[in-house]
Amino acid sequence: MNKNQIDSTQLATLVFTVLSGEKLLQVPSLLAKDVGHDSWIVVLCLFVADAICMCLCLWAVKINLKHRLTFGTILQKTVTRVGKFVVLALFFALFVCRILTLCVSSYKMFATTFDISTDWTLFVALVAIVCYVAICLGFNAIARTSQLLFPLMFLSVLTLLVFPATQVPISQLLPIGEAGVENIAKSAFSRSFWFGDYVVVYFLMEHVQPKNNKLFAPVLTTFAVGALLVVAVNVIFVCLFGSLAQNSAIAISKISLFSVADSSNGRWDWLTLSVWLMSVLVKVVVFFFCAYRCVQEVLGLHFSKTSLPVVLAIALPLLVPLFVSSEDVVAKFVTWCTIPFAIVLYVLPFAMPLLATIANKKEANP
Amino acid sequence: MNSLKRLGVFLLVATLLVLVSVGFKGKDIHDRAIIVGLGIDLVDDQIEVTAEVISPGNGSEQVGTYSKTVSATGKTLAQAVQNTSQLTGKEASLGQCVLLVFGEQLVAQQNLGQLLEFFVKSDSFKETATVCCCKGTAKQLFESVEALSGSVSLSLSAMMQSQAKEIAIPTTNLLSFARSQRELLQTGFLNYVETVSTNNQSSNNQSKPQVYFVYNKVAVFAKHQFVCLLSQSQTVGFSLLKNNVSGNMFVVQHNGNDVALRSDQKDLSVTFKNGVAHFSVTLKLQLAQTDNFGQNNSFVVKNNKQIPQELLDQVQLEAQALANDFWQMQTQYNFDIVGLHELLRSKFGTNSNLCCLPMQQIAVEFSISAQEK
Amino acid sequence: MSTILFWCIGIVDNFFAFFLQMLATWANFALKRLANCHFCKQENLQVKVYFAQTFGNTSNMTQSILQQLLQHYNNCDDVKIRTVCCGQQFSVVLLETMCNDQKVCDFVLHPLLMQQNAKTLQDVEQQLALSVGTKTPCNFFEVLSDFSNGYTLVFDQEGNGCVAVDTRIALGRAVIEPPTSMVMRGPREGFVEDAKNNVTLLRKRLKTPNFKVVNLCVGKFTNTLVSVCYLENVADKSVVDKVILQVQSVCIDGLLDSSYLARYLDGNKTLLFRRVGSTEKPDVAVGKMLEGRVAIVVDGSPMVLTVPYLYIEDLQSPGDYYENSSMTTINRIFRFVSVLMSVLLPSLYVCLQMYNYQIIPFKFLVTILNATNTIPFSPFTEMLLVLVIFDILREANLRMPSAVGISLSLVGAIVLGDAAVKAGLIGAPAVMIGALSGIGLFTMPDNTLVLSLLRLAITFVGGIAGIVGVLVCTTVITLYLASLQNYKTPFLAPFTPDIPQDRQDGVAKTATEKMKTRPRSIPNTNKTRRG
Repeated sequence: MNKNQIDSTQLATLVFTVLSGEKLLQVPSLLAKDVGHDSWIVVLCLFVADAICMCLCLWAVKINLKHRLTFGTILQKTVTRVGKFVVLALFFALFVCRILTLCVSSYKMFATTFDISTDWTLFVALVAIVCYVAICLGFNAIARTSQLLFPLMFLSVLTLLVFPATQVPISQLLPIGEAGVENIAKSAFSRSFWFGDYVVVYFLMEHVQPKNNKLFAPVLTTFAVGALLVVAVNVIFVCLFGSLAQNSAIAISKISLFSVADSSNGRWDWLTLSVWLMSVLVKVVVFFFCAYRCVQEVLGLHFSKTSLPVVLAIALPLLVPLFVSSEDVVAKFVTWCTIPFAIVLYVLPFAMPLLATIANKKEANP
Repeated sequence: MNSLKRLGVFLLVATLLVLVSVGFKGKDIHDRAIIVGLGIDLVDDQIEVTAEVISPGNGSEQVGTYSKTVSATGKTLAQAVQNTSQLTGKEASLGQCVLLVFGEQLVAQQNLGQLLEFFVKSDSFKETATVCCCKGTAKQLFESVEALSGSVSLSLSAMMQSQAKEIAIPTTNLLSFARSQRELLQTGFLNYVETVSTNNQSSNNQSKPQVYFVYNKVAVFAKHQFVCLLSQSQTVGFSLLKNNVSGNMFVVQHNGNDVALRSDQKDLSVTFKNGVAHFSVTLKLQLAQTDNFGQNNSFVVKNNKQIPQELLDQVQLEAQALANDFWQMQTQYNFDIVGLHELLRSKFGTNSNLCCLPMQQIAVEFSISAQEK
Repeated sequence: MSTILFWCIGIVDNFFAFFLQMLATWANFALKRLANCHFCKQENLQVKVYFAQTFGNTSNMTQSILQQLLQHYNNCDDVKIRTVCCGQQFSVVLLETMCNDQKVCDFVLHPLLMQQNAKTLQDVEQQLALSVGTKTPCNFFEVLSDFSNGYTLVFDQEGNGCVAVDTRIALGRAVIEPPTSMVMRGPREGFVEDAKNNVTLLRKRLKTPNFKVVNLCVGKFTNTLVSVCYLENVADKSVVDKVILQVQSVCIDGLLDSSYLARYLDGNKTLLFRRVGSTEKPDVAVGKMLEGRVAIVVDGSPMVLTVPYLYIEDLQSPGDYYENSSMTTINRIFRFVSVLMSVLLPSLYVCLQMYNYQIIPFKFLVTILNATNTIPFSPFTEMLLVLVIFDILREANLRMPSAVGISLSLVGAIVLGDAAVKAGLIGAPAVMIGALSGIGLFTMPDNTLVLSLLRLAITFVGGIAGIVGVLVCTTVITLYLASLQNYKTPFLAPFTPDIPQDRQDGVAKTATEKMKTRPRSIPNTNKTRRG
């Protein structure tokens, strides 16, 4: 069996893991800074956009089932070699930025909140080891891991949210849309970098195997569940913290504090949170895998074994925060790249079914 | 060869891990001064902090109290906390802190904004920690011994978190207080803690005075500055208009005798119609008996009617008077601790007018009724 | 020059050995297709191949078979020859140490001596009909094989033809309850060292012609009998073929126990987790065969191997199937929790003390502070010390004679535990957590060693990197486990990949009468179990 092959149920759980992986950490406070208590509307809008794009990508996957072409091949057959290079280079930059931001926010969670003094290099080394092992073992192992962890992650977030949800004055969300449509749209555009996690599907085009001929239903279901959880976290967060929301870096850690009944009980919630934090690790691994695939496709190489130099090259930018503030660097980079990123995230999917059809036809009649 | 290679890689990784971990100092719990409560005072224009630190006993059995206090001063709160580390020789760790107490002088003279920022911006400090102010200095409070349990911080925080809601005392925590000082009218409250000495003897700490804590008054703050102190009856009035607080006790006359009625439950709704805020409170009363304390949930068996209507009417009048008394203070000092501005915000949205809308300009109606539970 | 020569010889030798191996494989397949059940027919070409490799070309036409046999067994004092005259002279040759005297007497010597007009070997064979196993070996290789297995050979005067009579000595213990898997309720029979007995125990429970046994021989010197047992129309043919091929491809000097074979059956060698099941109970083996697995019985080992193997099987105990399903579910949850606890608890104890003290409830923190106030070690060192001591005690306890074992555990518990705490060397919570974790491991007795190793590793990484380390370790282990697959069966099935039908016997077990289908995670040809 191909070690990267995954079925649609595994893809569905993976979508959940990747979707919720990071958005419960830094994103709620960033959005609260932009639009206050309307952050959940931004999240909802972006999720709707993601859902549409994901459906289009899945459609492309379905078309591609005949010849199982890779994303790179589809691009090469349709938008020429240069187009493929540009798109994949953009994706590579996107993934590296995402890995960096993911690591920084999870480091904040692990090291600043949990531990007082964790070494960044050690943290990055550990993450890189996990990624290397995962790439060696193949994407199937990653997908199976996320499938195994899915119920645990879902339940852990749910348990963390149930008790705080009962203490939330929901009227804090009123009046809905107070920030104004323009602000909400602006925020949605500028924060789109943090969303668009469905892009993983591009790099699994040839590996997805629909289970019982079902592809859309399971993926969309888990997507909806994940999206609802993220929206719920945003709602609870802004309701509980109000004007303080923008000061609180790690939303889920702040919310979970309210799930402990007695303050002398210690922060038992962090143990539950740790279970969910595995999804962040899985997400880093998935993006690492995608970045690795980008390198393979751009260079046109097919390594018989996992290439350690490539993995190290992807991990190298993770040392940037040792020298400069990673948040500044990423923020600047993202500002420059907002439009190109938005194009690959939200325009390319509309062309994907067409591209897949053309490429498959060309493959059939070379 | 293959296995040798594997072993080599494993050893390399293990060595690297250990080498990297040299710069990776995990703090053993014994290297930390774990602070459970922090008192903050103003002494000669300097901040004095009094920390209640866990102090382990010797061996597996605990002898004596498990906490000791340490005080240090500094120009800022951060400096003062750091100075406590110098005294204890351990890193001051605030992750387990459950109580913050501001001394009387500090409250009267200092803006609390900066002090609160220190805690609110910390990642590991619990926002659910209880915050209060006290009569006299916080140092005195921490240096006394609570008569029923050993630790001041734990007992006071536990009392205020669990008990207060059943004896009609509104309480607050760090998050609510910090929010109240930044949002809308920027007014909030803290419980005002007084100590009552007792002649009980402590077997552990005979040198320290034994006290009980009384926290049935609240101090009002606006923009991090002290505004006024509500009297006990005004606090009761406030509790009537506050959600999640119950346990008001009313003593009324019946056939020349005093009868105690306890309200374990109440229905409170606040609406805003035609420019008038309408508070509708329905108190659910029962005769105060030995076994009905703390029955403030909805799933209690109903009893036969025992309270005559005239008693209910007396309660209604008394409650109305208490609420009016409290409301007068609100309008007089222009503070809003019942969340009227929040109600208006959810209705009309945030705007600068609302944020500085004085309480005098808001017309209010109370309709307080009493019925048997 | 000589090096090159040796090298060339080596290549030729290897090529020849490979050719013979291929020949043996091909021949065995052909034979297997001819007749599925070979137990009574010792038609195994592989034996000949090994004999050929061991003794060289033996088709020496100038010597009789008897002479060749005796030549091979020179300097063996347990070879006995006796000449019997019963019409004609016959030589009775036997290995004294491998034959049962009584059987030789009753089934060979006595019938022969009673006969006076036997002329040919056919007459002798007819005469020895009393014995169940009488046969005529076709060639020298069979003669050698039968002789070494304890058959008594009756040669004619020329010594070129012989009749082999089964007089094998029945050495071995009786069928008793296996000490490694005791059950409260259920059969108490256990496998023994004799493969024939073991197959009998299986056949006793599977009285169907669909129960097939393929006998193979493994081991250059030991010639160990390996019986591959499966249920036709239930087990997947490709899995059976693959198992047979794997067994045949084993090139080993001696196969002393089934665990030797297990390493070869494990396709991609795993570092930690075994992917071949083993059981000492025939009812368990039959239960697994009924689900489509293949059982491999190795002579000389009371452990019968089963493939394909799922990780969830570790969680299942033989007694589970004889108890109420809800009780079983609860027990399995306890097992699962205790294993998780034993692997993660020590590392969490270290992490929480060293890095995440906020997580510990206040009063528990005070207790820990009090208990560890006088301890000279850091929590990290303290915990590693406790775990290593526990592992040493466990290992010592296993190797000690049972009488000493009890006193050793007492010494371990009292001296090392209580005294160390009282002396202030190790804190009481660490001892308690070490002991709790140690006991928890034994709820999954087959994997104790691996889990104990993992526990040490996670504690180590957790001690260095805090909760991040623990999470990283857990993720890597999960990734590794999820990547394993053997005999078309994912190791973590039915949880990942998710196979909803198989959850009936996952952690939660449905009532036996409701388990109507065979597990889908294991390849089988008949999905319906009952109904």
